Amino acid sequence: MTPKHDMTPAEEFANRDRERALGTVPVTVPTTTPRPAGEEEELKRIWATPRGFRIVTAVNNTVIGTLYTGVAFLFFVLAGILALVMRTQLAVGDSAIVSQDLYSQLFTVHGTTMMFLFAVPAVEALGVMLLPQMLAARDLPFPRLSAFAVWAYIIGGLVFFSTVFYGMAPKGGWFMYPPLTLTAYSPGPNADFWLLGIGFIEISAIAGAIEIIVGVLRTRPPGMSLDKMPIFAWAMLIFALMIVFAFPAVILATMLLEIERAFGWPFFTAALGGDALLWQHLFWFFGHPEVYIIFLPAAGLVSMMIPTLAQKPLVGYRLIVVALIATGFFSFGLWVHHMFSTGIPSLSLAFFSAASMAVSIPSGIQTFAWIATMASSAKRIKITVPSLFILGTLFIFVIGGITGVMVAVVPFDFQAHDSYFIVAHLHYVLAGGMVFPLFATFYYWAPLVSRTHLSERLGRWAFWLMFIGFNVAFFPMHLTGLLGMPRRVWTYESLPAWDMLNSTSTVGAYVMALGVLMFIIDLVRNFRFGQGGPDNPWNAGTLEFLPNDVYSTRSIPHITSRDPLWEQPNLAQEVRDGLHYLPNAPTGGRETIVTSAIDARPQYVIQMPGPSWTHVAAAAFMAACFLLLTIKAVAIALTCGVLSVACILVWTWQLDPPDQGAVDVGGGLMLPTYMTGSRSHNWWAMVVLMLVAASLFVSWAFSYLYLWTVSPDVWPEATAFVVPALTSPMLSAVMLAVGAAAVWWVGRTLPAGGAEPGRGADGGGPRPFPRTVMPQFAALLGGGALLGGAVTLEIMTQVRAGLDPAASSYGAMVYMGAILGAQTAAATVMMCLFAAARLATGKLHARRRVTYENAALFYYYTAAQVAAGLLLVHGFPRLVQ
Amino acid sequence: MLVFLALGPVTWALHLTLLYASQSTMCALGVGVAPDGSSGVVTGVAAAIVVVTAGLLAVAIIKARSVLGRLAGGSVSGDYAEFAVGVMRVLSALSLVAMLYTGMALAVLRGCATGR
Repeated sequence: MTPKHDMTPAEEFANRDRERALGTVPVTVPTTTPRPAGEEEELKRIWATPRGFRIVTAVNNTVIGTLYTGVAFLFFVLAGILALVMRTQLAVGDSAIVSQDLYSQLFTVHGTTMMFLFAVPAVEALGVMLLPQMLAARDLPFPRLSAFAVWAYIIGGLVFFSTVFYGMAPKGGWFMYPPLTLTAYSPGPNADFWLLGIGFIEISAIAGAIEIIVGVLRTRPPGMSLDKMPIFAWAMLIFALMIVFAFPAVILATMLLEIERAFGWPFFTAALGGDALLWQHLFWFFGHPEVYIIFLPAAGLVSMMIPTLAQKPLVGYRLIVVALIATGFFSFGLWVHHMFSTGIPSLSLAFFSAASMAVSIPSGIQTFAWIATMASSAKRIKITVPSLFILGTLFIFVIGGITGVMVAVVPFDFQAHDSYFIVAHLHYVLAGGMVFPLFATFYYWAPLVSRTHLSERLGRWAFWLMFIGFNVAFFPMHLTGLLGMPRRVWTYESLPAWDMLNSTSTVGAYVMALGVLMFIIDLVRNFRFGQGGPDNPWNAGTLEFLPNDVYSTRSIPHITSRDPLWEQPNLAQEVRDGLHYLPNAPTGGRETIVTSAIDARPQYVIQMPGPSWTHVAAAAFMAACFLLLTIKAVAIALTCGVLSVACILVWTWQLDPPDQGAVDVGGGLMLPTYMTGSRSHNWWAMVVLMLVAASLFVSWAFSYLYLWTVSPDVWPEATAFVVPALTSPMLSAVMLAVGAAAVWWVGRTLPAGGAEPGRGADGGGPRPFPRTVMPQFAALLGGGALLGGAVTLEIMTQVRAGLDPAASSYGAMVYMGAILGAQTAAATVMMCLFAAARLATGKLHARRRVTYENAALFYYYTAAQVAAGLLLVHGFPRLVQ
Repeated sequence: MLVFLALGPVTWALHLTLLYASQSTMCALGVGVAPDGSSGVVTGVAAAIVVVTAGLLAVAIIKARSVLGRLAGGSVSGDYAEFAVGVMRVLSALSLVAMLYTGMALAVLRGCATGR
């Protein structure tokens, strides 16, 4: 074995792996000596959940994940109750139980709640709760970020849902098409609650997605290379990447619609060069990936449960990885199938029809892999509540998939669009693809967070009532739709064909509701949050069933296969005895190991923050800001916004702890406790954030070019408007370049690390701000000023040129580009100021430089985005003249 | 490495973007559009996009190992390399099928006709 002092930790680890594979060193645990007394108690103390009302400040993934899941389920029940009211109204024709206006609010809030407040949050919640356990990590890499996301979601979601109780709920459908949702046809704040409320909740979803991407790629246990990763981890990685690219489109759309409603900028008004179809393109570019964002994690969960229930490794692991990636990509190429009847040319429709059929292939691959795993089991799969829900999933999802291929055929869709056939299809794929797997998940993974099992008897009652009720409710809707009943009608003329089918659907809905009630009764009677349940009740092969406590696993295992608990029979005991990595807390705080993205070689120990009020307050104030804007209480809203930013600054000030030097994580493996550059998990998070911002910008660029193809008559080449001279944008570009250079220079000249100013080396009285960092301090401030100046100059240039954003879609789009630039510039300036403050207080120097690197990365991105915006706005009109 | 795995779907996404963007823009601007909605220009450009992107992907499938070598350097070997090449090939084959499905429409439909 090559001497340790010649190798980096990653090289040393790889060397041991090679020698184990060659058989020259026996497979051993990293350490064999018993751990010192008191280590486990220390871990429990460090990871303890706050008690009493302070539990609100908790950041442990099990607490946050359980809370998140519980609230998502609450929204499922609330939206389900709205559905029962709708089905009661539609049970017979010519009914007047609810008014037309209320009915419109009911179906809008039902759909919006199910899609935005239940489905995506539920799968994200399961990711927060299960991923660290499946990856044997102590927590996700940014615990306060996921806690912030959860509180933002809870507050925003509850306020949004409450609007249905006082007639303020949106009523434009969950997809909120203009022109119906423009002020002329939707006066009042109803639509604004949707636009601002849902837009805000999506920010929370994106925050969660950033964390999941970094967590899956960088906090896997040593040895868990990508080809050994649990399928659920693959599914969540793809889910999170899809959120990064899909959600910005609808965020842009909500911004555009809200600005049109508030200020009259005509993005969607045809008379002034806008186009209502622009909304549909942006919404469905998000909306179709959204349904796969909902489906893929649930499919990943099914792929985890079936092998355990069959007691056989998953058949076709590689093919399922292929299927997940293919589904993730193909789902972005289907959106126009929601717009088949809008008059788009046939050839365009055919492209999306082909893609819509192609996406069924990877879904089929997964389904057949599940069936093959079950069929290849030596014994018949044991019928338990989870396996019942999985069998129900297969039945229902396959039916939904078949009708999906039917509606992918354009002429068929011309007939079925906006009929109950589509209602049937969407519920079959969503219930089969997500709801039934979710219930299977509850029963299968409850032992991780509950001291006691859920009831097998009540669970079977729940399943059969839900399965029978669902099919009785929704299968007849295929026929109702083919018989011509349109969607979203509050009542219908009593006809023999429609009456019987609708009555049947209503009975089925109530039967299904009874099944959900059985589950709730089971939860109330048997779910008890806490540790102490059986370790591995299903004899599963994956890591989440290792013995664990509030600190997750006692030590982080070295992995050599996809089903470690099956392949390494002593692993549970070894981990419990602390014989693997990080059996203690060498820095005295919350830690986990960061590993390389492909091969999972240990690279460093991440020091993570603990409970705090800052992220809770930040979420509350941010929710208040968005929600107060809907009722036009602008001054208070802005105050809340400022307070939210202040809380975020306090929160981030507490991050980036100093380097504690290399620590022993077990078996003599020494790992650093601080990392900078492209190996740092912070750097990866910033890259993902930049991808989100870039997706938002590309959505705007698409919108600008799309409106030009639709309404070239309002573009400068056809009007009297003279595009401003190139002097101003070139000056802006120079300011951006100089600012970026200044920021780059700071990175090259950061001072060497030393004692923090404010405390003398002897711990004595305060010292003045060191003159040695004045140039760098000024450069950071100057860089921020130049960036802000470049954006301001562009806005003033257009104002001086006489461009009116309310006069045409061209003007609106130009200013929108500047707004997006201003948005990212504002965030960048704050990051520069923050870094300057860290520099002034000695918390930023050449070695402790993460704060600077984050600010610099985002600065370069923002400069590039603003420059690209200038190029489009000033270059394109000249190109087409 | 992730780029290598997703090479097929990325190429498919690029192909669909170029196809839809060029076809919808040219049709909106009336480039070479005849009264019956056909447009040789539109169909020709679209066909060229399909042929070029599908051809590039087919080459990548055949030479997958050398593509992996270029993208990942020498850092990937052994079991993981086999996994990566296998996943990349199947994903790319699926993507090729999707591209050919899309391309078939060019043989059947006129470039800019609305069809209703």
